[in-house]
Amino acid sequence: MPIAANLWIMTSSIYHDPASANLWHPIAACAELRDGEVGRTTLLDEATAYRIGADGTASVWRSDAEGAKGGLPCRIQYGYIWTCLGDPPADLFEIVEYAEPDRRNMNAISIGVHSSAPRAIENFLDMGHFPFVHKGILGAEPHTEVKDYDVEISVERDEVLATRCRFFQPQSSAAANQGAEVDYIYRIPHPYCAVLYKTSAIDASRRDVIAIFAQPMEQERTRAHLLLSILDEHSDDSTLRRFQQTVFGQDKPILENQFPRRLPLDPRAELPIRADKASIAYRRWLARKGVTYGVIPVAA
Amino acid sequence: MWYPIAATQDLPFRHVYHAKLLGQELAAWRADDGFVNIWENRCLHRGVRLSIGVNTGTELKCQYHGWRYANRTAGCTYIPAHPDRAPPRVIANRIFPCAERHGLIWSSLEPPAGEPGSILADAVETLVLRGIAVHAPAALVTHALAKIQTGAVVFVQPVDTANCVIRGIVAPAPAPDIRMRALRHYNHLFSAVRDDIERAAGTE
Repeated sequence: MPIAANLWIMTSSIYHDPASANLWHPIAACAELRDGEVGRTTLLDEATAYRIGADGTASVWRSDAEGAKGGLPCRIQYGYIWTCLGDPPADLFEIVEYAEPDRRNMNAISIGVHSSAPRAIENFLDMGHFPFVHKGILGAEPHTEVKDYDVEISVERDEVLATRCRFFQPQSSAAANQGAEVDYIYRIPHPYCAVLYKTSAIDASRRDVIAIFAQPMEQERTRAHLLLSILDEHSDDSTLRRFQQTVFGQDKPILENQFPRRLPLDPRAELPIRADKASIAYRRWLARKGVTYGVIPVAA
Repeated sequence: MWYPIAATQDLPFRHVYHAKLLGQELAAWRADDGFVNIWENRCLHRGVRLSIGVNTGTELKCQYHGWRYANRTAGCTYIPAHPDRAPPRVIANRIFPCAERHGLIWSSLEPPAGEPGSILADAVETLVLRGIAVHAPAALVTHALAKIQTGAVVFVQPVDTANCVIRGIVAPAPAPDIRMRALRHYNHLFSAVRDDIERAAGTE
């Protein structure tokens, strides 16, 4: 284990599993921070503070009521400040579309959820709830069937990938003006982040990208940051944001009424069906990685 | 042992009532045929509370993925994600005993003995008082209530180790023209009991 990580584990008063501590975590959307302003938030039970300097670089530090206690690694990517409490990986996962010049990139919302980060990720991967939770937008009865799709856990890329996902949607995006069967690809490149690629309502050969970056504040408290990287020349920013905020506003009460709040990794803990292939793979992948924050681990 | 978990009036047409007994969350709902169902408040599929679900009159439909559970048996009848497949018969929610008596809904976490609230004859028309939630253990509240004469029949619903509900009934029911006065009287009386107990316990 690298020396930095060892030191951290010895000096920190709070325990996290190394699998979570040694990850990059999103803590704020840059666009929501005024010049020089210090923001404060919680990450893995620890108080952190952050700011963006005049030169555009971020700084993040552990903080408490008395103030600064030591700098943390940080980076700005996809419009968010990311930090790490342990030994961070060299890179964050890639979203290549983000760099395309005609994309609209923005944080649609950063919103608190009284649930664990893995519950929020699993909800993001789930198509079966569209006709019930997002009725008239992402789904509608009687179009409730979740058609068979493919899931793989890629060892080489260390991520979960669900492909060939298809679902009938009355209004798949702010730009859609009629119902359509929409193609989805889901990618989980990080235990608390997921990326969705869906057919663009404007250009069928390209895909809109919507990502959820879940910030595990506490085991059962999360801030969900939603990134949009989409093709839409006409809708204004507030229309695009409002669409995502409406959708997430429908998911939030479901998540907050889901128990246990931590995601159970034992396959027998809940009752998955064939439509839940992606969630089954996600739970298995978390267990294999040794993630314990925000989950109920499989009993030994 | 039977405990009251709700009043009859808490189960209006096609409502789902969120109750709790001894730490166990319950979803209570009346089907259109009058049958009262008391189930574990959790969909078997992904753990969402059934109390935020939809009472269709014959089934309870989960808000998350539309799974439906049948009146009486709690068996899962339909999984919308796979509309062409009948759900396996073994999928049934956990059922708790239920009795409706004296204007209260009664349940128990174990198979209970006898009839609930049997100190009263069934034929008596009752006035059900507003349930008063107290942030104190049931034993403490039962003890305090035993020391005062109220003129009502009082039951204490143990919600969990730190909370309970005072559920009182007046039998026979007062004449219609003085019912509102009676309700006010007991509301003040039991609210004062609650305030005293919470003050003493430091939980107000």
